[in-house]
Amino acid sequence: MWIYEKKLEYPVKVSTCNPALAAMIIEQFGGADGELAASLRYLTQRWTMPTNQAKAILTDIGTEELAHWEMIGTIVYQLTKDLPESKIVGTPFEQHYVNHGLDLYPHDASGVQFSAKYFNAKGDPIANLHENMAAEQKARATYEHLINISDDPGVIDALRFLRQREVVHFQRFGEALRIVQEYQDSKKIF
Amino acid sequence: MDMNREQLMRKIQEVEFAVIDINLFLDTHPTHQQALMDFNKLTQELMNLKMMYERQYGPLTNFGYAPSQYPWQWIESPWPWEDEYTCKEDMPCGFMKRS
Amino acid sequence: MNMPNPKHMPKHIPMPMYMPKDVKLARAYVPDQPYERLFPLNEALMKGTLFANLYQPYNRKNQ
Repeated sequence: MWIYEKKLEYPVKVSTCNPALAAMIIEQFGGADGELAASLRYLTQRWTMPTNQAKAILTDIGTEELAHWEMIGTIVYQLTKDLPESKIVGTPFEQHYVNHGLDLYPHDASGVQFSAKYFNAKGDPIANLHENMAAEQKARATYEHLINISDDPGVIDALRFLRQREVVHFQRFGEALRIVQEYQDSKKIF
Repeated sequence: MDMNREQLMRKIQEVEFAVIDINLFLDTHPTHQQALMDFNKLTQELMNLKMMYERQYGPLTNFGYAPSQYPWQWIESPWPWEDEYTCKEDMPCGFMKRS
Repeated sequence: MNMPNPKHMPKHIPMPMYMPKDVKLARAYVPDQPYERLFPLNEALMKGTLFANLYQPYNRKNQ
């Protein structure tokens, strides 16, 4: 069961309107290597993962990713809050606006809608954990690209936090992989 | 939002974040005694901080994790994405620099 | 198996003892993380991890 805590994991301080930046940041809100994809990937895999350690780490990282999804949504929301149409026209955010107004909606920087196609559960825990490790690296790389194109210090600060979390998650999935490998090896000994 | 509330929230974020990182470590190292001791110590501190915060500013968690005064406090602003937390100053809309 | 000389390894890489004794081919291994060198709490939040040995800051590209 999920409980919601009414605070962000890490503070988000946005000091400018910047619809063009918002149109890029939204990549991590609804994109293939974004936080929603990560969360659903891990939470989906946890049902059939062997070993309690792996079930726990999938549950907990999957939950933390939702907190990150909330941070990204907050950044996009604050970058576009109360924007008049005159400030949106001619920016990449205009495509989002014509469909969704100033509402948030999970799509990527190109406007492609979120999809379960972004993650898999292969019926094989080793394959699943490797997908998870790859996902963390792709998310980390995406955050580096976003940090490179951002000029709002508050946004960069939050992106750096989120990027570092991917590094930690990679380590945890790597440890889970060792645990599951050893578990599978031990099952082969008769 | 007055400084007291902001400072208390910041402290809660700091302690809870440490708890989360140790939690993840314990998931893959369940027999690590030092980590577990640190987790329990910080969890105790976190519970005290939250009680302090909730007594003044209302519940941080719903569904029975914290009581509420009248009228129902859970719905109250600020929500985590709102201005009071995200400190948006009045700045002219800027466009991303393109090099 | 040739073990790397610990003296030549960067400080943040754990010693070979954090890898299993019998590594197999066609497998990926991530070394086990030692529990040490915790940041002070305010620093941990700002950096994005409690653990100094997992902290890998990014240098933003100059425009």
